[in-house]
Amino acid sequence: MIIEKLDAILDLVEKPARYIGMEMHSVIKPDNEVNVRFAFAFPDTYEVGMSHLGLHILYQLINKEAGLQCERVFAPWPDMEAVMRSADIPLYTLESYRPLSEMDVVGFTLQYELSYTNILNMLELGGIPVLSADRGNHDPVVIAGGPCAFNPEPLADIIDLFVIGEGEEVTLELLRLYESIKPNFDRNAFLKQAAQIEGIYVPSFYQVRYNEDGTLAAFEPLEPGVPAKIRKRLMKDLNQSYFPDKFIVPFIDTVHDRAMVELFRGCTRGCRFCQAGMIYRPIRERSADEVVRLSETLLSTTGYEELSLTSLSTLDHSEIRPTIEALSKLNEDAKIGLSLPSLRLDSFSVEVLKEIQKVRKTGLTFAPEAGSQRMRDIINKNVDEQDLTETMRQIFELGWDKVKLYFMIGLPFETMEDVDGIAGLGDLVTYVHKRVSSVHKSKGLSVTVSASCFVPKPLTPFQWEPQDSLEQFKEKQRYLKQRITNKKIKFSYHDAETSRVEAVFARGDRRISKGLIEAWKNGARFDGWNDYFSYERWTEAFEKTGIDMDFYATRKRSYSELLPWDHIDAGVDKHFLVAENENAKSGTTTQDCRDGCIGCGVNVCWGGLC
Amino acid sequence: MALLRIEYTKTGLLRYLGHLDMVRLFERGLRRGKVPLLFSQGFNPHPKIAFAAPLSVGYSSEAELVEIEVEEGWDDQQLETVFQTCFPAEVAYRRHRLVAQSKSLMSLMRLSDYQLTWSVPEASCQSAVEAIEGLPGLVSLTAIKKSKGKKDKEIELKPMVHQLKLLEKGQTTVRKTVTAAAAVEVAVCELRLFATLDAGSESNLKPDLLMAAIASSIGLEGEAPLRVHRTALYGEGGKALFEME
Ligand code: SF4
Ligand code: SF4
Repeated sequence: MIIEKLDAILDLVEKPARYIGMEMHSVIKPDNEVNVRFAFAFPDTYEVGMSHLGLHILYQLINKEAGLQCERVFAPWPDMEAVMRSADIPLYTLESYRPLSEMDVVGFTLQYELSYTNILNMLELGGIPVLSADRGNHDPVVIAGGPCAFNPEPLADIIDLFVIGEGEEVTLELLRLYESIKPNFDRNAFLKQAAQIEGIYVPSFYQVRYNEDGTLAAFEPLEPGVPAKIRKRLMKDLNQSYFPDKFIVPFIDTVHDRAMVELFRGCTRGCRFCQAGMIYRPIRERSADEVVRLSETLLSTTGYEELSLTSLSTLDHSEIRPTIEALSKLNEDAKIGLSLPSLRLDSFSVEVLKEIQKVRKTGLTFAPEAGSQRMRDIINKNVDEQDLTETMRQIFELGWDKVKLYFMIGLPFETMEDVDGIAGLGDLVTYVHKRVSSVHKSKGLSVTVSASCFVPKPLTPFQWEPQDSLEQFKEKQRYLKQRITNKKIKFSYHDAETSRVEAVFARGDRRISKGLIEAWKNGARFDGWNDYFSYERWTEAFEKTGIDMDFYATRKRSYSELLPWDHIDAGVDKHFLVAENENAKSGTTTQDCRDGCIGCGVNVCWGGLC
Repeated sequence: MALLRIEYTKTGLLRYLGHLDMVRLFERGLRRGKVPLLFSQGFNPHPKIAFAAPLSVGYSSEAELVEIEVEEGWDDQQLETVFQTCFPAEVAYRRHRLVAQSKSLMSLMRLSDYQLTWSVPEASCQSAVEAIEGLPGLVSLTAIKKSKGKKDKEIELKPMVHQLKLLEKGQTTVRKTVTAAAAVEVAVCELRLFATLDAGSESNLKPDLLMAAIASSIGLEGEAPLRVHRTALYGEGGKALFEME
């Protein structure tokens, strides 16, 4: 029994409580009530995975269904991996402590590309063949979903089927299908039937042909009856959709250790670099009443002392003001903190801050994304210097003195002048602080300017654009390091190498899985963690498997090229993406589509939603 | 305001929770149970929950103590039900009582009783038994105490040991001992011990440190895993901490 073995080894590892389960509101059904076992697999640590809202939604959704059991599994930290390997303990779920190989279905969530090596590692540790083609009728079906599933191709050889879009309905449909044929389970028959479900993509039923120059020549179904294009699933009405009335409450501190209520899905702002803003269209809101009701319920069942209102751009909710008023009133006595994941650069954000953070003066984070107005027009981030100046003035007057500003470097069509604008905005903020005279103003000021390296993502207007080369990124980083001499500003930037590997996978095709497997075999895991990422390991792996990183990362594609993810239909028209790319080139901004439809195409598929 | 002193257990795999995890567990468990907690004043109000002594990660216990401040007039007979419904079974209610405002549990605490299970390689078993039995006769037993950011310090353990006796020598079994590098089969004998050691803010001796010192005196280094279970907490003069004012 795994649980007995655990008893003997947990003394040897860091943070042993990651590996024990047993939290409040975890669900363990008696064996005789379980027809199908599903493991929700998060390819990162427990602390990261347990902070993910999607896990909590699917977990409780599946477990409230009779006959279905959802369990959890996370990537063991390398110290635990070593101990498990030496003690012969397979990777197990935190509910029934069964090895992954004893699950019926294992579902990975793909939140970021740099977690892919952990998927391979988890499969192997769990006793499941890493390649889809090597799995038989007795192995679990390995599925995957989440934002990165919108370009499933790099994992096509590893994952049996992908769930495209929002998973609530389709996961249940899949598990019920599995249940119905479980008595005489046959993998191929299962996959064939699953491929008929909208939103399901079975990569082995398609073949890819390539041109001489390495680009795609054709993408064709091999099986009769499988769809040529796979349309994403979405929940039409959030007020009618399932949202849990309880969350598992972890024992240990996690990244987001609080109750979360989702205000809406989608985003109307149309920033051209943003994949989430494109693939989760259209916007669907949960009503203020429903949000307040869910918040009360969740706080009461979990005992959490903090509530977060999550969404892509929370303050854009059309009833945000009454929602926050109701919640702050409700929470005053119980001493419950309210947190918002994203703030806009406008006076409304400041008003909301006043309301919810009456006492605590924690740091505030804003994302102007680009330093110059020209660049912000190119990416369609509709904020200007005036907005920034005004917002900063107001928060300084109220006494905040820690500000973090997020930028990207390497955005399409960027010049050194645009990069310089990043330093300029930092200076502007310190200047605004100097000029503020208010009794509340704090003397100290700390501004963090953070610059990440842009990764072009599929299904965005920038999907055809080259990523900067390592040299370009480094040049820009060097420039900013020298240029930012202001003592009040701390400059931090992301590793260009990790962004380059991320870019290869973001727009990769089926061929790059060889490089992925090679890197994993050479020890790659936890690539999203600085301590474990090794760029040399990746360059060696790609070289050995004949993969040209530049072909995927820094190559400009033409509009007519067949892209590896063209068979995935997120509802947004390719013509619209082309038009937006052209608008970017000419620096023409596009309005927020709350103010009027801009014809992205989503309402053609789901008429009536927007 | 009413001050409640609660005795509870920490067992099973939940012995791997750290002290901060326990603080969170109590805050949230009591909130789930709708216990009307009182909060500290200030910018960052916290419920008033104070533990007697943090229990090391990996130790279990049947007699931990915590004090919570609740609104006057709350029916504290509900407490047991709150534990049954809102806490994991491994953190179980034992008993509680109302106490007058007193010194903090932490400042009252002096000693703890422990049951220790010490797995010693068969070859060293006899010398381990002798070392334990010979401890009272020793003039001195020292250990190197490592603390983060500070220099290692040699400390004298003897005055902190009030009792260490062998309860039982178990059967010898062949067991797999696992390290990150390998798993090896070794024959071990299990020694069950009972210890009373200094515990609290004034002077504190962890069973780990004591047994490591004894192990190294007989030439064992890190090959003898120790399981620790706390059974009682005492104040000045060996009075049961639960009863003290
Ligand atoms: S505001 Fe822009 S960056 Fe943020 S989610 Fe919406 S589209 Fe994406
Ligand atoms: S169809 Fe129009 S309103 Fe709907 S998401 Fe697209 S642009 Fe916005």
